[in-house]
Amino acid sequence: MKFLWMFTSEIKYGLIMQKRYLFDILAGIVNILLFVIFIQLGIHSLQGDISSAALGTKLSSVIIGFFTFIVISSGIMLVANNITEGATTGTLEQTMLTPFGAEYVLLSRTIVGSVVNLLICLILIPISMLICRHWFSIDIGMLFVLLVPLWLSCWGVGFILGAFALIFKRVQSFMNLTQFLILSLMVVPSYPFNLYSLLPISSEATTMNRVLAVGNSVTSEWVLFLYLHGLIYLILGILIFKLGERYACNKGILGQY
Amino acid sequence: MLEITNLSKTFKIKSREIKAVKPYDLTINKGEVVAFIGPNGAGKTTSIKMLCGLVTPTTGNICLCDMTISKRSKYLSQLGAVLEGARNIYWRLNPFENMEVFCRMRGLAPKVYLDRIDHYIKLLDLEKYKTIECRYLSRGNQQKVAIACILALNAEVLLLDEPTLGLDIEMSHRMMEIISGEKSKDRIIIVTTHDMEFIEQTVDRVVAFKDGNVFFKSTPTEIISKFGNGDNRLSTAYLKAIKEETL
Repeated sequence: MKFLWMFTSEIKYGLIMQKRYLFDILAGIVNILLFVIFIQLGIHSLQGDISSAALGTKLSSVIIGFFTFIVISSGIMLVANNITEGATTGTLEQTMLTPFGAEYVLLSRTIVGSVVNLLICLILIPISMLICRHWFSIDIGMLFVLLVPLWLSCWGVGFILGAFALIFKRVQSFMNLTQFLILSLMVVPSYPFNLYSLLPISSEATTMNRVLAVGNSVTSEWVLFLYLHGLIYLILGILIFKLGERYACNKGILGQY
Repeated sequence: MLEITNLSKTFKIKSREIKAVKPYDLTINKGEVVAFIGPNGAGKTTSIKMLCGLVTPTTGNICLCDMTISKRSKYLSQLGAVLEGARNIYWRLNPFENMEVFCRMRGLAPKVYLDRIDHYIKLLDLEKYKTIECRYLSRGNQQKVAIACILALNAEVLLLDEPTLGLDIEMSHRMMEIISGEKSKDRIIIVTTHDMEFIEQTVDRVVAFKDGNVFFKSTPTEIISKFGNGDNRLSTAYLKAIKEETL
C-alpha cells in the first residue's frame, strides 16, 4: 500500500510536470513531425526505383522503426536524465532518502514518463501516416504485448546509464553516443534466435518491426523469451545501478553536480 | 536514542587520503537538540550525510533505537533531512505539492499527512504562497518550504543543515520556536549551523568539529562558563575554545 502512495504520487506529479514543461513537449512534437516529413521526402525520392508494394512496406517499417526508436531512446534516457536533473536541482538526495530505495522511485518515474511518451507516439503515428500518405493498420493488442519487454530492456539499460550518471553526473555526450548504439541494436539480425538475440533491446525492436510493420507473426515461445530477456536486463540494470549508488556513497559524490 | 559509535570517514582522492571525519562517539537522547558546529570543511556535513546514509562511513555504526543504519528501509522511514535547503525542493511544484511529494515518497497516506501539511503551512507562514511554484519564491521562503516538507514527515530524527540560512530575523526566531516545539514531541534533532543565537536559544548540546576531529561536546552554558571572557556570549567563548581545541 505504501508503495502505491508513492507510485500514484509519481503519476500525479509526472503529469503536472508535463503540463508545466508544455513548451518543451510541443517543441519535441514539432521536432518529430519535421523528421517524419524529411523521411517521407527521402523515401518518395526513391519511388521510381522500387515497386509501390515495396515502397509501402518500407514506409511502414520506417514509421514503426522511427517511433520504436523514440520509445527506446526515451525509455533509456529517462533514468539518467532524472538523476542528472536531480543532482543539478538538489532533489537527488531526497530521492535517495526514500525508504523504498531510489531505484523504485526512479523506476516509477520512468514508467510514468514512458507511458506519456507512448501516448504522444500513438497520437503522432496517424499524423505521420497522413504526412506520408501511407496508411497501414497496427495491431494495438500486439503492440502492447511487445512493448512491455521492449520497455523492460530499455529501462534496464537506462539504469546502467543511471549508474554512470550517479558517478560522473554529466553523461550527455555518452547518452548521445547511446543513440548510435540504439540504431545499431535495432538493425542487428536477432530473429530467429542467435547470439545477437542476447543483446539488449535488439530482439524486442526487431520483433516489433517484423510484427507491426511487415505483418509477420511470432510464436508464443518467442514472446516468452522476449519477456525473460527484458526482465533479465531490467534486473541487471538495477543491480548495476545499486553498485553505482554504493560507489557514489563511498566516494561521497552522491548528489554533487 | 541515536547512538553513534566510532564513526569516521576517509576519502581517497587519487592516491591521497583525506580524513574528513575522525572516529567519534555520540549518543543523542529523544527530545534533544544537538548542533554540529565548526569551520567550513570541518566534517559537519559529512557527518550529517553519514547519518542519513548518503555517505558510507569508513568505520563505525549508527543505531536508532536498536535499529542499525544497515536496515536502511526502516532506518530511513524514521528520518527527515534538509541537506541543501532551498536546493532540496522541486522548483516547478508549489509548496503544497512539494510537501505532498515528500510525504508520498515516504509511503505516507493522504489521511496521515494532509492535516500536517496544513499545520506546517500555517506555522511557517506559507499560506499565501501555497499555490505558487517554488521557483518564484524568495530564497528564505524556499528554505521554509524545504523545512516544512521535512516536518510534515513526522519523522523521529530530523537532520537540518543550516536551518536559519536565508531567513529574516523574525523567521529565524520563529524557526527556533518551531524546533523547540518539535523537540517537545520527543524528536531527535541535529542541526549544523553558524548561528550562535540560534544555538544559545534552541540547542541542548554542541558538538564542535575542526579538521575532522570532534574536539568538544558540551552545553552552550558550559562553553560560555569555561571559555567566556565575561561578556556572556557564546560566539566569543566558541572562538576561544576553537583556538585551544580542547575542553
